[in-house]
Amino acid sequence: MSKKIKELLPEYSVKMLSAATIIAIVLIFYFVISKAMPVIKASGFGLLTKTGFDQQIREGFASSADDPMLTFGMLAPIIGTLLSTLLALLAAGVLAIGAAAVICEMAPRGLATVLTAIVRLLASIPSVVFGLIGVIAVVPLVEKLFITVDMQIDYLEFFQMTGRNMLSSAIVLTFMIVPTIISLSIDAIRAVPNSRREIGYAFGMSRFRVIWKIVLPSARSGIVAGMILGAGRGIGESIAVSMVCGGTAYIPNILHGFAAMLSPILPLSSAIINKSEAMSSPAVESALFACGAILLLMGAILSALARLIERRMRRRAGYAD
Amino acid sequence: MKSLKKLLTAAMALMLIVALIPAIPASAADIKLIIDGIEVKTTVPPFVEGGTTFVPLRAATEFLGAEVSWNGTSRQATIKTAGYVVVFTIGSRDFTVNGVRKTSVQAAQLKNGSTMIPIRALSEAIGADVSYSATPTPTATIKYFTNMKGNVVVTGSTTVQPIMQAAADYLIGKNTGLSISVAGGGSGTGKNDTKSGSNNIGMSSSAMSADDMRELDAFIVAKDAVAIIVHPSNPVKGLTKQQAIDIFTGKIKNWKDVGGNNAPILVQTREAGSGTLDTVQSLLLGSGNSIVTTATPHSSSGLLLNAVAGNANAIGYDSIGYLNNTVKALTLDNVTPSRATVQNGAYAISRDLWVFTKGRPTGVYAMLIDFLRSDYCQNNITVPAGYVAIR
Repeated sequence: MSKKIKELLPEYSVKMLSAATIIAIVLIFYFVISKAMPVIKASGFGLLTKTGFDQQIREGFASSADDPMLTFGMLAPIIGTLLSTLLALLAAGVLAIGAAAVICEMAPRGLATVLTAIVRLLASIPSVVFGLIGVIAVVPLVEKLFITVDMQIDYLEFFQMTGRNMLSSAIVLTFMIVPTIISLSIDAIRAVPNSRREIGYAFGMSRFRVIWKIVLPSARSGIVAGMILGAGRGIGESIAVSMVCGGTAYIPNILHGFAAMLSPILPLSSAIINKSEAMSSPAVESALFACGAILLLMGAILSALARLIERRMRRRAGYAD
Repeated sequence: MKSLKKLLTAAMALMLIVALIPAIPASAADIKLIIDGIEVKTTVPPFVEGGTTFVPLRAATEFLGAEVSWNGTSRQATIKTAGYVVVFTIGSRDFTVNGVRKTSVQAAQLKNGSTMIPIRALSEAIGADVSYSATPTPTATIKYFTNMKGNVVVTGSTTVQPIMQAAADYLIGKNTGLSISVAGGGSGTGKNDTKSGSNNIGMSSSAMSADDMRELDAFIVAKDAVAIIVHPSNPVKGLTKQQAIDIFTGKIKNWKDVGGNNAPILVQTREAGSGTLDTVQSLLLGSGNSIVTTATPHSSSGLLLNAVAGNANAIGYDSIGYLNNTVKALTLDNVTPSRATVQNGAYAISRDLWVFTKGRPTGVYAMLIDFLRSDYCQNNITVPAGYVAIR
């Protein structure tokens, strides 16, 4: 009897803990969506397609509790989130794959160990530190390199061109997601069996060609998984980005050419931080929870996408499911 | 062992001598005046005459938030607190409290230009707890803000709320049996709550209408003023009110249009929910106008100040209590924003902050309002919180 309990107790406690996790996630979804419901109901599909977020927050805050202003349009924050993350992902992807290839395939063992340690350290830096570095270094640099007074005058009727803009946000995000992608890429590259490399060398390929044609393609699924995790971090990152994004819900206009990169944005997560001062108004509170609901949705889509891509890659590589 | 005894004796002797020292300078002439645990220095110190302790009227009551006025022809001193109007006449034992005649043990008198009144009269006049003790040093003690009991409910303007909350925290720490609950809700809520009796004291940052004044007894506890600020290197020194409105609403976009360089005007503002934004909206822009949509919003006063200090073409606004030399405050219609121009009403972006009760305040409510108006609260709570003192 007692032996049975000894065996069953750990099993049940583990099961209960996993159940608790699932319940917590369900509750989070339920809580966020129920708080966001008034705004979702009132705005309908316009929540995803309409603009004017800044003004709506001001109106929502000023409206009375009996007759709240609940129609919001979050196109600008959604595009801000997607664009800044996409730019950061492109830059971070190139940097990270290169770094991972160097660490695994080219660097001598001692150097590789040091580099790996540095990458791990980079991953553990709190995001507000990245934000501070962004404010102190990236913002003035971007302003000095790309922005002139004439440009500021020309574009003032559309937006304020300052160092706090989409480019700065993307740069700061790049540094934040690069360590994640490097770590996962290293694991993926190390997992490529040596026999495959030897096949390449047997055909007389150079070291670079082996990396390019054999190692990286074999490690593709791990690298993509790293990039999706990086995208998740980019979408959810709030503090660091809110310090450098400009804080105005503006949609970068492609017709402005390179200047579009220098327009301020307000990603969803930064909107939640920046507008929280007005949260004493129920309308604004619900609107910010709607931002949270959209973020949750994006996160869910990304993680589903990660599973899907991983599965397709595995199948193509000839593994059985 | 023997040497230790000697050392002990010597130490004890020394301690005795030291203990004697403070007793020597305390002569009979210097009576200390201690109000709410703080020693108040006065030009004419309190004195004892015919068994009665006299205290200087102005120094003692101004410390309690009262207004003191002197009429030379009738030789009368009038003190006004939130709850009481008291008139003392020099050479007379009679004095009036809210018009009711009372009689003191001895007459009020002038000494070196200061009106001196018997300390007991202060107790009857405004309800302070007074005492005199001759030992260890002669001390006249007045307890007013440390003599508060009861429950106070305060609601209304979120602009006044920080001052009220800090004052409540201070007073609750100094008294036992005192509870003060402070909630926001806005100026309109504050007025309605006071009229309907749902609070004891209301707060408002909007002006008191004639209607309000008929029903409520209102007191100014602070002034709120917002300065328009630019980078110190900006050649523009001042704006007219119309220029300021046009800049913040986006009609004027270049500094050269208001006498500056050919450079863009980068408007910095606060996020929705800020009391300072509210002040600018109602006192500068007026209803119907709103801040230009390209303006960069900041979530705190400090961040906005940093943004203006760090950008040669930026313009912003902040409570004048928070300004420092990293930014330059512009004149508005040629009036420099300062404590003096706010107090005399010359500067446009400023307003009075009010508290009020239904009918004349009494007891603990009157004391709370007196505290808000006292020098201690003005200097240690109101001004550090970014507001302008009432006097």
